[in-house]
Amino acid sequence: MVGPSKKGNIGGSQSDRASGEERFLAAFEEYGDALFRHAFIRVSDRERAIDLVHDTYTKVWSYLRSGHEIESFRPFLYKVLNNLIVDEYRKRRESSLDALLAIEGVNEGSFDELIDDKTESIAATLDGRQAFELLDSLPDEYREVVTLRFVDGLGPKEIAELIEETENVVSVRLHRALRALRAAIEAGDQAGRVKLEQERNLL
Amino acid sequence: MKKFSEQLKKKADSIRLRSDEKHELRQRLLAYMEYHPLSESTSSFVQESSRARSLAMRLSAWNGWMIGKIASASLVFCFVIVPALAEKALPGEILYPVKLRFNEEVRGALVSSPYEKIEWETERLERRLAEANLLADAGMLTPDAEAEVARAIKQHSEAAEQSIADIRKSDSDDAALAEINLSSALEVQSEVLVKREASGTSPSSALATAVNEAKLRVNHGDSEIISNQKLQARLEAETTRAYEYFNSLNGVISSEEKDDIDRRLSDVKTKVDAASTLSQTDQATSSKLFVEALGSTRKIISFMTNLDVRKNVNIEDLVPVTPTDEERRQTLQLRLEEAEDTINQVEIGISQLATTSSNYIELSEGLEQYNELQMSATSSLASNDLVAAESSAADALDLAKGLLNNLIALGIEIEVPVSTDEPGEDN
Repeated sequence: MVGPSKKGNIGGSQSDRASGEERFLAAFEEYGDALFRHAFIRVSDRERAIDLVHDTYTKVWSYLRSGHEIESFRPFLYKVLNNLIVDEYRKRRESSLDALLAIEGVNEGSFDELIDDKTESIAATLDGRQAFELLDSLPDEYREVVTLRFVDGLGPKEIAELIEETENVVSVRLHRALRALRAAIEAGDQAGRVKLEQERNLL
Repeated sequence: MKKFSEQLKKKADSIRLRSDEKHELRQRLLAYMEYHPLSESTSSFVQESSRARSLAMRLSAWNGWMIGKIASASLVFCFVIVPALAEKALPGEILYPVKLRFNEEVRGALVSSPYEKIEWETERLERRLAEANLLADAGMLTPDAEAEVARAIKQHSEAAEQSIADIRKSDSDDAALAEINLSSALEVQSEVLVKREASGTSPSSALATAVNEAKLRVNHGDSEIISNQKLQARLEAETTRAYEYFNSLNGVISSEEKDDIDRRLSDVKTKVDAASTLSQTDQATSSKLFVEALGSTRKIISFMTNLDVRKNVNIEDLVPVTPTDEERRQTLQLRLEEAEDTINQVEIGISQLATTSSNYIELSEGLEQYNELQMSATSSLASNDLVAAESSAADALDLAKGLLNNLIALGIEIEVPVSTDEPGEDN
């Protein structure tokens, strides 16, 4: 039988270890659904979305194993998941993201687009339910910011940190995404989709 | 803006992991965590390392290297080798407390939902009994170890009951499902102890008492309060598990045993189909069948996964075969034929009695009664009312045997027909 002091030692290490595991599992319970929702909207594939969530948690677990501590799981998990999704898109189309960034870089001075009120005023005219149905037809870079902003409820600053862009770029991208959605909704059907397709080709 | 984001969010919120997907994902993560464990908590690791560093500063580089090596070896020894060795430890052995208070507590800490906690406490209870059985087989079960196991059984069953009570506050369905699982496990363990006692290899009656007391405290799942949807979902998960185990048994058990298990799994499927058909018209019977099917599935899983159960218990005692309608008809026919053969002998015997004797009159009345029962059984069989037919046939056979015994008691010699095979009484 283990005596009280020995028992104390074992219990101490065990509870430290267990608390790390408990916190990690609690983060799974708390954010698993939200991360899946985010991944599913981004990749439109249920199985792939589940795999991405799995990979996200295993990467975070490996980070913990290497001796790091995570104070707040939520932003960390989103960051890892977002990187995995971006990697996935990079694999799919190598050049498109760079092309998008190049275009946005040029347009960053467009102050008209940077005014947040403008973004809000577009959003106010949109039907969220219709917009949701059309999310799938947006380029991923647009879908990314719309999902982070309106589905995951992150602020522009958090999004900027997450996707490693300036807040201005995030605002421009959101603005354009909403404008594209509005175009698609207003045109209602084929015409909207054609316009969207044209915008996509511009990227 | 608010309306837009609310509408969008509302639509998006409908996207979520299904409970089976979430469960599977959780299991994948747990498996990953198990194979890639945290070596030690960051804080204690940091403390240990800094202590080691300050000591090493005062020593030579070589000594530092040695200390590092020794420290890592000690950590590996404490957190990997010892727990791995402890996993096989039995009561009374030096590593047994490590198994109970480190390995099992860590696993317990990984369990997050009360439902899983019940599963884990049930498994711990089964582990304690398996350990006691192993020691008893080796003739090494000391009274101390025995008392410790009995205490552990009580402790684990009470912990499981407490978790059931906790779930009941928020979800009575889950509580009832957990009760079915726990009571199935206790029934299986109780059966193992009964069989071991019969074969003279029982650890002791104290353990049987502990299990039976736990069994009495746990209610069987109350079929009327569980929603059929939940029952069906749980059954689907459990039967999938059962088939996975079944498929992995190739080469482990004989083909005869495999056929026996296959038959029980088919019975479960038949029961589930019947319950599904009845779910719209007769909710109570449907739930009852679902509960029975779930209990049977759990017992079959125990039988397949627990060597101690397989070694000591016949699957027929654990999960009796549920005869199909065709098999029931065949059994009925055999029973009626046996009754008919018996009554033929009775008639031969009666013919040897004086027609005026009171025995003759009494036995003749019995014969009339038999004829009524036999006709009732035949007509019920013809109208497909198998329950009524089985009841009448069983009464007819009992009566025929009773009449024959009376004749034998009167000293009448009965000629046994040579051409008729004596059917087994268990039919």
